[in-house]
Amino acid sequence: MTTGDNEEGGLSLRAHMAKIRGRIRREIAKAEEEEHEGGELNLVPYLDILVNTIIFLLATTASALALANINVNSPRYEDPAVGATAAPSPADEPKLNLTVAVSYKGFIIGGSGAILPGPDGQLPTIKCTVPLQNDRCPAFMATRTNAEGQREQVWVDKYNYEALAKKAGDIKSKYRAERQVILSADRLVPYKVVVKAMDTLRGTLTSKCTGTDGCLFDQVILSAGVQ
Amino acid sequence: MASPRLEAKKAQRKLQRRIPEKEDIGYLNITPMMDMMTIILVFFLKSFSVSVENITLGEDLMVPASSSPVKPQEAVQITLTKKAIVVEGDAIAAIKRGSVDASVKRDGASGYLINPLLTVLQKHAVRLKKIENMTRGKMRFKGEMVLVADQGLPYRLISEVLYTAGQAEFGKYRLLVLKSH
Repeated sequence: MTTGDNEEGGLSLRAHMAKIRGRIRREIAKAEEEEHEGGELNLVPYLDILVNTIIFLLATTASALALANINVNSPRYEDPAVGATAAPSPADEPKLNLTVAVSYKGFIIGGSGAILPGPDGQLPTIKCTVPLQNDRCPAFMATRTNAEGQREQVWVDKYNYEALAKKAGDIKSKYRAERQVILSADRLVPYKVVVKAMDTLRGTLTSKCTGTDGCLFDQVILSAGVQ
Repeated sequence: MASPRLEAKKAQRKLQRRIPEKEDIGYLNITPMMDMMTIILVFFLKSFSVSVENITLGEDLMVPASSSPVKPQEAVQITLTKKAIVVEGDAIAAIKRGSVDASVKRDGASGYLINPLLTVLQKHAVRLKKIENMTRGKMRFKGEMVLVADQGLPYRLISEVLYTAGQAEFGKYRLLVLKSH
């Protein structure tokens, strides 16, 4: 198209095009303006925040679900009210007063007026699974380097829980109605070992006990340490 | 060659295509979705705030794992981290190398009773008993407390805290543990 062809009808094509362009531009602007004015608040960013918060809350509550309680009593309570449904032991059956002490060297098990000696006639009743270190059964948090060269914390615990569970089962088979155990520990025995000893005595660690059915000794009375 | 007028019309049509057409649904209506989200958020916030144990586990507080099936319940919470004794969010006494300082204990180094802990727990006992009176026994004071303790703490410290709690009429202990299967 050359400029020579433009003169027709008294209006140049260029001017005509410019006029149309102008009109269209105005229309586009108008349409866009309508879109802005006629709409509501832009809720999308708010919605983003909401979704993020909900996911965050879901993630944090999920971890809180995995908690449980162990009910124990202080020694001054004569009647362990934790279980509350325990059948009273028959009068002719002597009260056992099972006592388990977590000593530095292993578990010491005693009853009314007697302490069970170990297989060699010595205390503790149940020995550590490894030789004693510094006269103690190892149970501590240790730091080691794993296969990928990263430092990680591992719990070292050499107390013999299997033997304790077996012994508790033996005692239970002789004293069917007993559900109570008095638990104590030496001064520096870690809390985790005490909790695991409770688990073992409750029977949930090794057997299919539910923990509240009294299949082993589930009514724990915590007593002060022996040292 | 087409006439310039036709040419112009063609150009006009071409440009007109750039004007956005009115569609049936211009955008999704997200208002109902937002209503729903807000309700869910409020629900979560509420359930979160009344959740039984709101604890943060970390380097200083790692509770032991246990196979106990008992569900956690609401009670006065005593937290023992590696560094401090905390009752219901208030720090009571410092813990150094697994024991509290002898000066805060009634009978010195060999004593069991931790004085500041006893004071705070007695206040809690008084408060709970007041609630029991005001609700005419509906919210009974059962002397229950929840112990959240780090797994590495020595038994001596645990028994000192439990003894002190027993002296403040909190004689039923609930040890908080991580559930393991």
